[in-house]
Amino acid sequence: MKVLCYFFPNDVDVQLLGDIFYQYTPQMAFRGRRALLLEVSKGRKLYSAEHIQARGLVYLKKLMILCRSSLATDAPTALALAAFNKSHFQQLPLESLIFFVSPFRTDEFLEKQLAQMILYFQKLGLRYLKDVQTLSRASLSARFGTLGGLIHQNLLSASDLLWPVYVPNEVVEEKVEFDFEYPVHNTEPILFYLKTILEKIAWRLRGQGKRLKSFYLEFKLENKDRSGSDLRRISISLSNGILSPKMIFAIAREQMDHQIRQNPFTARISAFRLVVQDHTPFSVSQRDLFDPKNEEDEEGYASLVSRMRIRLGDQAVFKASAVQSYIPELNWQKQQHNQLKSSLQSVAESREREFLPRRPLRLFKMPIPVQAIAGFILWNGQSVALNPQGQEIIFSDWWNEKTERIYFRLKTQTQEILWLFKCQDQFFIHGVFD
Amino acid sequence: MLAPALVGNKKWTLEQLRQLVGSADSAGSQRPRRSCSLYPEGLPLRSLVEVSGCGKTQFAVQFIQEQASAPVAWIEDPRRAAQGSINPFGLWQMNLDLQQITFIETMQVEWATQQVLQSQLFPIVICSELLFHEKILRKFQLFVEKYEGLFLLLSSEVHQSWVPALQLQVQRSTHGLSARTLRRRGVG
Repeated sequence: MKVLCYFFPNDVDVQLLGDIFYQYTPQMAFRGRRALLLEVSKGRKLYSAEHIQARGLVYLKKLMILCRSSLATDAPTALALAAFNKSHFQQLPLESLIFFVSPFRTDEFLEKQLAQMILYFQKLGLRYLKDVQTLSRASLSARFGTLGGLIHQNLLSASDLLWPVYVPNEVVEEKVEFDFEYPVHNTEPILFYLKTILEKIAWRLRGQGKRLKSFYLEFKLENKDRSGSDLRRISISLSNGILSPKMIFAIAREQMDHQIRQNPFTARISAFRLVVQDHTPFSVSQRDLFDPKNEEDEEGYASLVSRMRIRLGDQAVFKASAVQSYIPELNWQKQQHNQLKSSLQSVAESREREFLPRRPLRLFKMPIPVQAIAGFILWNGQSVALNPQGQEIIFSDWWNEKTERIYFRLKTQTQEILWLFKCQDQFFIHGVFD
Repeated sequence: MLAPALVGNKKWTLEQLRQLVGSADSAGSQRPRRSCSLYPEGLPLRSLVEVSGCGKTQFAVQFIQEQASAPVAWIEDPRRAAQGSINPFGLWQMNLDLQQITFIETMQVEWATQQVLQSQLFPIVICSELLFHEKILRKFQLFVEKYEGLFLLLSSEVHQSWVPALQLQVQRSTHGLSARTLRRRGVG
């Protein structure tokens, strides 16, 4: 068993750290808001304990959290080594006994009892934890009762301690409150905080094997606005889920600026919070060090699509998939799933490719009515003889109004192939085989 | 104009002089090409190629098919679809992988095309039935020159423009489609 401990001199946000470190091990515990314990031996085939320790220190440094870390074979020893900044069990002072009695929670009553016990030990000339180890169970129990027995047991077999169950957060949320006397009146300070917050959110989701797909920012205004509310919500959508905090920030900034430009704040902002609405799972894969272009392209693509959707509208940029339908205008649909190179298969079955007669490559959104006079129609200034080829009859779906379209092809003098249909004695051009 | 000292008394061939002023490089012939069965010479990369005539869309589709899942951006303006909008089902029937293509339907075509070309994410960018000003085409040409991309402009009628590196006329006959060169910029 290998236990990694980070000990913090100041109180920390345990939920944040729990989410971030969840990617390394689900077996973790906190001691109040001052220590994080991770049982890291189970994942040794993926990460060594030293590797997790180093990566953790990087995360904590980025979060500007001061800490001391240690590795040991059990939780109390790891805690004591980190708390007293020692490298060996032999150097641990008597005060570290508290971690052996209650490693996963703080208990003031126990601490008082232990303080008295430590005084006795010191009178007896004991200075280190190793000295207490030399005492027999019988003598400790006889003098200090159950507490003495517990200390003896935990000193001998600390690795058998039962760990509490860690449950990750369901809702990921971050909040920033500005100084009450100096509320914010532009987006600059918000963006400053947003960058850090998004980094934290991305790490937390990554720890749970997810990536951010959409979130909203809720601003608390100093006064009520025209709608009579002092809360303003801005939703940010990231099309297909993005992992990189840098990319999320760039997209969020664009979308936020766009929405604020359209509907500016009418009051100063006293606080804001970011709430994750949707996320998608992501599979951890090895980074391709020799060709990182694919990953960069996917992120660039997400950014491009997002930028275009802001300016051109949600429906302007899309991928298409085939749909099983005989009605020509209904046999494809827009897809909102966005990846530069997607592995999604088309909905329709492949045999339908051959089953349906060939459709034109160009379709008019609204079929164009044409007049047929003496066996000719007029198209683009030229008369085309009504000499139908490749006739196909298409009925409307049974649940809709009953109509029948008789489709056929017409070849013009300029070798253009038109796709016409006749419906209730009226001719319409529906597409061009271009 | 070339300085006399540079030219000297040596007799330069026209091709050497073109290479000297960089004209040969800006012409399509010196550039790497993407193979195209309908145009055996291949289509020059980092270029703007204009395709016109009946069957131009089919030409583009066949070209995409031959490019082994290269991402494609297909840009259209719904207002200017004189021959209709692209029908993705028709593309799918021609065995094209629709996931390969990003469709952009907008009235702000110029801005959208610029974004797509600047992103350098799409080796093939197709604009259909769009009339661009000469300056805009030149701008697009400069963007596409910056990466290994190919900008295909499908038009009903050929632009009287010097910007496209290659202008092709597609014809449909009983033997199928064929493409002939209308104009080629630079040597070759």
